[in-house]
Amino acid sequence: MKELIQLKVNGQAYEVAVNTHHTLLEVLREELSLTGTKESCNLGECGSCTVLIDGIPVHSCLTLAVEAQGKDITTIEGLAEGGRLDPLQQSFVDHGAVQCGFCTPGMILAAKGLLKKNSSPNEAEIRKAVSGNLCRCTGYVKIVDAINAVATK
Amino acid sequence: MRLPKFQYKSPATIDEAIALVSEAKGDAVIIAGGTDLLPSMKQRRLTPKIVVNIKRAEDLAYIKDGENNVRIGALTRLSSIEESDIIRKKFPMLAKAAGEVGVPQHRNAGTIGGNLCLNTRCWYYNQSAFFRTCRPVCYKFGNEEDKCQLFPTREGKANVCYSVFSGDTAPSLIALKTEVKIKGPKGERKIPLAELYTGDGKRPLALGWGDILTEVIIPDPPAYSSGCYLKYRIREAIDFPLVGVAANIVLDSKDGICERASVVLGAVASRPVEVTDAEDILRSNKITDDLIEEVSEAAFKAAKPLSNLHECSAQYRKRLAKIFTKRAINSILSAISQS
Ligand SMILES: Cc1cc2nc3c(=O)[nH]c(=O)nc-3n(C[C@H](O)[C@H](O)[C@H](O)COP(=O)(O)OP(=O)(O)OC[C@H]3O[C@@H](n4cnc5c(N)ncnc54)[C@H](O)[C@@H]3O)c2cc1C
Ligand code: SF4
Ligand code: FES
Ligand code: FES
Repeated sequence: MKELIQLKVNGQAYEVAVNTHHTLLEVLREELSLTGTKESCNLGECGSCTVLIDGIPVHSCLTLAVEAQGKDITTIEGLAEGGRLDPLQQSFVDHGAVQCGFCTPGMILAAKGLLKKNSSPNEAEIRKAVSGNLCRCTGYVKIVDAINAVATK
Repeated sequence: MRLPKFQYKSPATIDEAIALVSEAKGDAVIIAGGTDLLPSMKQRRLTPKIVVNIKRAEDLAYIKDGENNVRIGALTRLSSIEESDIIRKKFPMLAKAAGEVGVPQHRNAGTIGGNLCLNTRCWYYNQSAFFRTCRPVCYKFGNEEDKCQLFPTREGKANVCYSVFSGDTAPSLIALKTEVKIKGPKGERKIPLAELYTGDGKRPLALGWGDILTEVIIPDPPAYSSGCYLKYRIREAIDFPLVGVAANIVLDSKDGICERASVVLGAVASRPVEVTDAEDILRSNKITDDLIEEVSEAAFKAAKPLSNLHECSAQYRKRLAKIFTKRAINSILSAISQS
């Protein structure tokens, strides 16, 4: 069954006919070609599909697209402004917190969600905020350092 | 991995939602946060024809500090409970339990209603559709005549399912004597939360078709009382509990005599298990190390986990129930004496 819905992604309004059994992850990647949001476990275990809905990090693989109507959705494509990376993105680059890069979009959005709520988190709060995001490459230390460097002291 | 196809309904009122689900009998399910339901649907353990969203129906996302209780709407997110000043002040163990569910993303979407109505788990049942192509389905997944694949009963005996209830907030809420409001086709009723659980792994909840949990009501904590929830899991995030122990104790004065005590175990059976002896042992006594030892021994006896969570053995979980009970009571006593 298809339903015509309005989605607001990275400030831009879209009108899409979605299958009601499709997740936000599927619609972002397959209908809107926003492939920055990564698909991995698809079961809410790895965090690679994390997006912000109304500023709060959630799993797009466990969100029905129809239920994201009327909400403000932010994906990794929405962070850079005018070709300039978001400070978090730049910090990930500077700290070598990106290796294969697959976990990075989810990791950065989980961190973004934290910084929106708490601009000066301590290390424990940073670790908790990204505890739902698995990374097979970096060993996490550089990721935590990268987020820590952006947090206001 | 796509979801199976279903009809999606998002009724404007809770009564419409109740009507939809009750008329569809077993063909419809309710979706709240979806963090438990959708993985089960992706793996085809559940393939409902109709999915009914209740988030549009009524404003059930609230935490209200009443005269002698705190009321929480069923659609309140776990992260709101974790961060609520009211809950942190009055029921710190509930804030902690909510904060230990899964990871931030689950708590930002997952609701208290969904956490209390969580399906039970077992390593054999929580598998993919692919797994089931080469192994027989078990009693919980299949029909009345399908055998439990881990602990089959003898020929001619009725099947039993021992899948585990692993919700993190229920033990604390039961220890706090919480009641829940349920709205259904026959109207509204209020029951102690403990009575929501049947203990039957195949049908773990005492809810009929169309019954919707709408509100959680926690009585205010008396003076000189405190609670503690301890959760054991392999990793510090993501994992469901392998054992959860919630204890709540009321004294008559600082370092005084025990008036009420309750110890509730999570993840050791198909329902949260109340250690009923705990109150008998502690009430009207000054709590000593010997009595704490006695209560933890009672918790050890009450915990009857089986080896159906693959992360650690049943024996280990049983012993942890004892150790955590002791730790929880000690930490409560020091919290009351410092308050
Ligand atoms: C990787 C992973 C890890 C997890 N770890 C934990 C954990 O550590 N601890 C834990 O407790 N949980 C855990 N969960 C499970 C889940 O995220 C939470 O329990 C969450 O609170 C479920 O709430 P929900 O609103 O998302 O429920 P939903 O998925 O929407 O619903 C769950 C069930 O309850 C029913 N239901 C929902 N609301 C109501 C209502 N108001 N009335 C009647 N029935 C209702 C639904 O029909 C469904 O059957 C985990 C899940 C995943 C995927
Ligand atoms: S305990 Fe229940 S879920 Fe596990 S195999 Fe047996 S019937 Fe299935
Ligand atoms: S793809 Fe959504 S959590 Fe792994
Ligand atoms: S950089 Fe490769 S998974 Fe994290």
